[in-house]
Amino acid sequence: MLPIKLNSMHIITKAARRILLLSMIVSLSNAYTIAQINSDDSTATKVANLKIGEVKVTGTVKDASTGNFLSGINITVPGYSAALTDDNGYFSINVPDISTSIMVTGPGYQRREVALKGRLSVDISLFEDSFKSVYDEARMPYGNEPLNQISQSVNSINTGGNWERTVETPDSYLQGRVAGLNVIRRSGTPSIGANLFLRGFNSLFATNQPLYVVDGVIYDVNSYGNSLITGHATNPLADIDIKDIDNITVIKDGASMYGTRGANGVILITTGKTEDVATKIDFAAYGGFNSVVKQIPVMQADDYRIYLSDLLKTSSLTDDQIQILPFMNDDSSNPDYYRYHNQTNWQDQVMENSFNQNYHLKVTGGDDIATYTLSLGSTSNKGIIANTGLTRYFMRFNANLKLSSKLTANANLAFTSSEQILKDQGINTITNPLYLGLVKAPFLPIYQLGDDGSQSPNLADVDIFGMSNPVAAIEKIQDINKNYRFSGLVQLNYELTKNINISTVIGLTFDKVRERIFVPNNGITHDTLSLAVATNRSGSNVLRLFSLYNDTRISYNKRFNYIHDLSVNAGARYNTSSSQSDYGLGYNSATDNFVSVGNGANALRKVGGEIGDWNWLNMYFNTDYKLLSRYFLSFNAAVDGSSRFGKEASGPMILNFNKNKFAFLPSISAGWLISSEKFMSQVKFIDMLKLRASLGLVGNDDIGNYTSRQYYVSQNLLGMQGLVRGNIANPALKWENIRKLDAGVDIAFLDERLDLSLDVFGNKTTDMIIYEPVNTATGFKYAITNNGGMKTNGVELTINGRLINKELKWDIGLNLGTAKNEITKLPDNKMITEFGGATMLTEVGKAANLFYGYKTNGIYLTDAEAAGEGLSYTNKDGTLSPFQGGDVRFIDVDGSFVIDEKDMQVIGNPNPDFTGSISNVVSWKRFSFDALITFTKGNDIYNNTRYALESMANFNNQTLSVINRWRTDGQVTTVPRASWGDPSGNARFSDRWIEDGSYLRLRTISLTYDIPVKEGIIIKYAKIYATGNNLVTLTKYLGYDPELSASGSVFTQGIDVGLEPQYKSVQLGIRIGF
Amino acid sequence: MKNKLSIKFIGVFPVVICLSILSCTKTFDILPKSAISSEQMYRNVYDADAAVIGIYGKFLNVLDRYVILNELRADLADVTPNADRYLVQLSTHSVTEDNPYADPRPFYEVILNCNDALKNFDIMRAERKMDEDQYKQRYSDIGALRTWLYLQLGIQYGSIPYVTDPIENINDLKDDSKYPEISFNELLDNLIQFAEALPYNLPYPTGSTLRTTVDTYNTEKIFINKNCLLGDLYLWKGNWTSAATAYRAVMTIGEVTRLQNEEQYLEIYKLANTSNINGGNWINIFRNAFGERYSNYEIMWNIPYDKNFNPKNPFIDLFSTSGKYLIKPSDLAINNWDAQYRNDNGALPGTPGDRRGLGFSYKITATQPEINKYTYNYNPLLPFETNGKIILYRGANLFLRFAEAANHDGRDRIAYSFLNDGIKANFDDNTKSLGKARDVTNTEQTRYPFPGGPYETAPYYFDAREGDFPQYRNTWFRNTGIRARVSTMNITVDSARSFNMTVKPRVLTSSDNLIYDMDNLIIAESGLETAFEGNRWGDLLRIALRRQATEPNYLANKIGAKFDASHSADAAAVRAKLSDKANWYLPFRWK
Repeated sequence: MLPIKLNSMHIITKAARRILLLSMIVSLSNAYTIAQINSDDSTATKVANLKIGEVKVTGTVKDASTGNFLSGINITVPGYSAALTDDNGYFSINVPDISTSIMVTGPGYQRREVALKGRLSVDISLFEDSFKSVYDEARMPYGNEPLNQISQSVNSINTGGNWERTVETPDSYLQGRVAGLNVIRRSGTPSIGANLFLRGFNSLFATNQPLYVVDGVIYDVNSYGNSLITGHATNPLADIDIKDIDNITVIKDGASMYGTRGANGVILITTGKTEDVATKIDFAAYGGFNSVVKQIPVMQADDYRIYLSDLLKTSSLTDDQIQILPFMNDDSSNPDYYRYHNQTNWQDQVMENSFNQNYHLKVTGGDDIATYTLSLGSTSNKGIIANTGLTRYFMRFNANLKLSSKLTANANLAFTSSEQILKDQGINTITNPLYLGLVKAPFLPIYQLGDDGSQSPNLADVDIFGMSNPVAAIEKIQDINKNYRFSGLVQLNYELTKNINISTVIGLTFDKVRERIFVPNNGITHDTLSLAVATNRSGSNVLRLFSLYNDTRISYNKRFNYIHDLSVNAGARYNTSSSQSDYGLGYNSATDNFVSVGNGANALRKVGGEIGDWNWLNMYFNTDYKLLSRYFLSFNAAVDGSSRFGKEASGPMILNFNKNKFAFLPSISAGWLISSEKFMSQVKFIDMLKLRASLGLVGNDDIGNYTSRQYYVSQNLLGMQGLVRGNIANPALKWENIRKLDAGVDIAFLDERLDLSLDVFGNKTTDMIIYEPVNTATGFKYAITNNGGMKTNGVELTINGRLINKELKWDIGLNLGTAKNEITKLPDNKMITEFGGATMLTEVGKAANLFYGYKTNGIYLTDAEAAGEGLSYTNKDGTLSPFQGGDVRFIDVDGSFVIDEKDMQVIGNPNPDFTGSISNVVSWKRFSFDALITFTKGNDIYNNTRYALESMANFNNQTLSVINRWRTDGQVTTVPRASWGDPSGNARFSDRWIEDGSYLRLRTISLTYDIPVKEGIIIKYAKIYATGNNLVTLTKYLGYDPELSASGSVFTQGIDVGLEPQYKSVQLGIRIGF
Repeated sequence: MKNKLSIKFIGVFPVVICLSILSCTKTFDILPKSAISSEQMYRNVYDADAAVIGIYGKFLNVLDRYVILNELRADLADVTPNADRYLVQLSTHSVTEDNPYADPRPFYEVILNCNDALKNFDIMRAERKMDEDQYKQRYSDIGALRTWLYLQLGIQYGSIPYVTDPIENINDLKDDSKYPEISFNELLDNLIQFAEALPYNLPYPTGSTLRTTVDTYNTEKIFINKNCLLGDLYLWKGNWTSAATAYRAVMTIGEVTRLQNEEQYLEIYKLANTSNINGGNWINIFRNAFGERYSNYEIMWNIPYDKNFNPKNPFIDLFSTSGKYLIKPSDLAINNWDAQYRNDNGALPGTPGDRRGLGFSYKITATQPEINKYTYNYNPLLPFETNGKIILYRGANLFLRFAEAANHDGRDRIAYSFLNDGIKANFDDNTKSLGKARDVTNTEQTRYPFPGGPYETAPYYFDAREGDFPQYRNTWFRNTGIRARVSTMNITVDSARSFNMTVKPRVLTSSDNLIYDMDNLIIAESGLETAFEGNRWGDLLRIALRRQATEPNYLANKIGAKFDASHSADAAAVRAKLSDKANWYLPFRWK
């Protein structure tokens, strides 16, 4: 004991200084706090009378908000003694040591740990059980741990059932909940989920998504194979109903327990369980309204026609040729007159307000032997793209069985079935209705019109510009995704002795996605195949995943002399997975009524698919040691083997066994609960103060199933199939190594009225997977190697406070996270990637994935001004042409007077400076009110939609700002000229399209009213919920919505490719308990 | 006690599980399901066939590049206004390293697979997974194809890395000795050495699993002709007799006895006079479908494009005015044809024009000249009917190159015969009485010197006797020259430069001049005959290298003439560039 203290001395003084500083901040902000500190320092004198050996401690327990003394509260020293408070809230308990802690729990109240710090008498106040406390238990992989005793960086969210937020999926639910977890919802499509970046990026090409573990079984959320529906990806996490989740625990630092799958942190999800044998039934029903987003202002018919004539004048057409175009002819006797003189707001046609519904039934109960939780639910959520929507049915059955006094078992079965009607989104200029709704000529009609203007019930076909009818895209295109997921597990625990447990869990996952698409002939632009023009198109796709998982361990837990707590776990996790995707595409069926692949023309049909199998073994060892509930030491180590690893992998942390390579990944963390020290008894305003630090190695095994092997792929010669080399094998291929360093402090002040948690972290990836350019003479472009590296550093801050603690309770929370990324190693020091029309630079010394394009400085107002500057651009054939008036003034970086690739520079950064949230929970009488504000600051977005709407180079309808385009020499404007085909590249990838993506959003607001019910009737309680989502968003972003993430890849971040935007929705619900 | 035992038992439980998973080596040894792991490849002759097929499948991907580089950089093809700057760069010899057409990687993609197959064929032979014949045929085929690819790389890039290792894993990337960079000349030595050692130089024999018919296409001529290749290598190196010998070997393919198969005996590979591909039917060589009987006489190596299979015929987009129309015949090429005279309507000196010019090698579509050799059958109204073929070696190449070798070997008369109107007409010393109605026993055969010298021996002995008393219809009797075959007037050298014309018979005064002038005629003829087929840059470069010392501006002038003919402002710049040998080659992009 002594050496530890000596060694820690300088830390203490440091800590003390920090505490002082913090207390000053707190005191400045809250006069009330100062008064409390000054008036109540009487216990200080007691510290001197330390007693060793059994002593009696007395005290009182009261309600923190009402001040009433509480009876029936449990006071325990685990494994030693226990007591209950009496009617006056008084208790008396024997403790083994005066420096120990006592545990305080009671129904309806928070769990609290009180360090005696030498005191013989303690006055304890408790908050209600929904209070977010530093003593809450996190559901860690090896058992529940109170947060104040964890030395890793962990957040725990007790969801409380989430009865008021039914439209969320577990991933989107996490938005704003955890500092440092940047949750970006992929789009507004119902249940589409979110991409999660916990503490930024750790990898360029492997996954950056955290590992999900549901009830002890790894939950595979990767998608295997591509969707046929543009811009869509099935979200497996949506198969877990948010109302079935009890707790979500996020491990943010390098806890290596999950070895090569824990690179991006671990999210442990615990689904509903009940200890209560009484049968309880909850039924809830919700209905809501989804509201279309604010339209992007595009031109009406008149402006558009003027724009077209301006534009066409810059093409090769003569004025006479332009005049006779049907849409330029204003003679109403012209037979085409009515077809080109309409006022259609196409955005109205492709978006519609819609409704959502949700029903949930939950039954819990059981007996001494078995308890169960059964939940059934259905959800129906229409999107705001017309004719889209999701229907989903959930079923979950969790049972806990007590088979004997030593043997217990759990069985969890979950089945989900969804059907989602979608439309193509993203970059698809032919079938994406949102895109078509913006760019379609406004003077065109929805339906076919006769020469006299009479309307036919048939939709207008592809227009004179070759553009699809957006209404045909909405009404006639079929994009249907059906998804089933079964996940089941059986867990057995055998208590061998009082201290030794063995347990095994077997989990089975079966996931199937079936998709069907059909694109009709009528109204949609045709596609050209190598053998024919595709009139109509059909597709069918099956993606399937089968995964078997086992985790078997032996654990040893013992408390020695009420001083030493030791917990040791050793075991192995084994995961075997196989995925398969099969698709078929058909073309040119006889009519648009034949919508399946089989009806397409035989010669045009295409099939394809992929199979992937892999195995993963993780042998782990964990030991947690706690001394005096004050000093915590945790050691984890994993030894991982995988079928993906190369047989010749080398490096320092590699073990060899039976010709296979194993990753050895240890981590260590230490914590010091300073507040439990005797000397802290004087610092009364601090309830809990913990310093912690961790250092861990984790790995990322997302390196491709067969990359390390040399393989051959199929190559045809006419109809014969031959084989050619598929790769340069990399037998040395290994997992990415990520070293994670974290230091943090957790503090609770003033009887937990104010909590603060601060983390500083540094993640460093080595052996990062990279597509390394290789010598031309190899015949390959790339070899996949471990020659990359990056680091990410950041700070996270969480503050929670109870601002008002009377009958009206107001909790406010703030969390902030930063993650600054820097590439440290790349084979050629830099790398250019492209996505969605954007070019990105990834270069050593800079953050990954920076927008890389041209900088602009206004436009040339006159031809003379352009000539004066003397810059030129390169034509397609390599010749140079000078810029002219109305052209964008690009910055000539290299001074060559030619604007070309050498003038590209970093023009934006899609990575935010910081992200975070502000939460508010207010409760008053039977009302409770919850408001979550999320924000992100400093990230840039490439607005590809605006690029399409302001390029002024083709027949696309344009935004209203284009009206202000440069038209005559000397005109003062900031909008460049219209020019057919954009020869001078005014619309090239430049800072014109880069916008600030910062936003602050009222993400969720909900109001709950607990209806008073009479005693004795069958209904035990009833609650009414009113919830609003995304009601207010403050942003300068000009697109539909600034929150978007096209995929989980680093290289697609910050690019607005035109996915369904986030929209506002409101919901009313009622829940009745029986 | 019991408890302790069970603790021990239970304690080993996870360990047992781990060990059982670990000990099963298969756990971490999963073979790919949608690809073939190297362990599963090269197990029997069918795997070897799959390798050959795969290599040829990939080989198709370099062919558009082959045509573009060899034509656009030379004098007979030019860019259209639709061409992008990279094509323009090729034409004006100002190629930058980022030019995608100049990327050598596609060649190396095939080479890598050749290297892989060659190495594994050796292993298979050693392990008796293929019999000796199977091995020889496949090894030689792939070896020859790799040699052809390297010859092309040498022609385009000069010094190149000569990689013969199959680069199996990333450790091979670090070993610089696997990428030795050698000069074009060293490359030729290496290639000749390698090609001479190939154990088999005939097409796959009947009965071979690779000689078959697939999707109606007979595979016999899809695979490279090794003797043509060997002849070309010698020609590049200047080993004239060896070149002639190799070419001669091709000419004698199918020489069975006359009674068995007259057509093969007389016509295939003999540049024979057959009405189906003569005169105005010359275009049949390109127009007729792959494998069609008569055009097949002429073709030694060709590959079909079928609309149902990848890759798509790339030449329609490239050349057709209904496609992207990126490359067109140069004005110079058109002028060249226009400067010829036909002899098929009796009037002398003949009708201006050439049966290989307008309407044949090119056509005019709505005032735009269009390369016709690949698009003759293409109908813009049926845009998906893109079947076609590319001819990589045919009789005209063979005979003109033989002529080139023969000329340098002093056999200017043989060269002249093949260029103009055939052996029989030019080796007849009985000039007074021609025809069959005489005894031709001692004439109509090659002699050296001619007349009066002894009969030639191989490879220069050609027996073209055709007489009825006694009857002769000897192997070469229907041989005709390149020009006579398309009814074009004979072309001759300016005798005054090489002969003393004042005495009779004329006396050769400068064999150098004669060889030089004849060389020029051959190369000009090659342009008229094989334009747009992917030979031109190689032909010009070969001459230019040969004349480096004596005529360093040969290439500059040849290419400059293209820009002169089109009155392009680039002429001077191109001439200046090409007057420096360093600019004859494309920049080699290393990554």
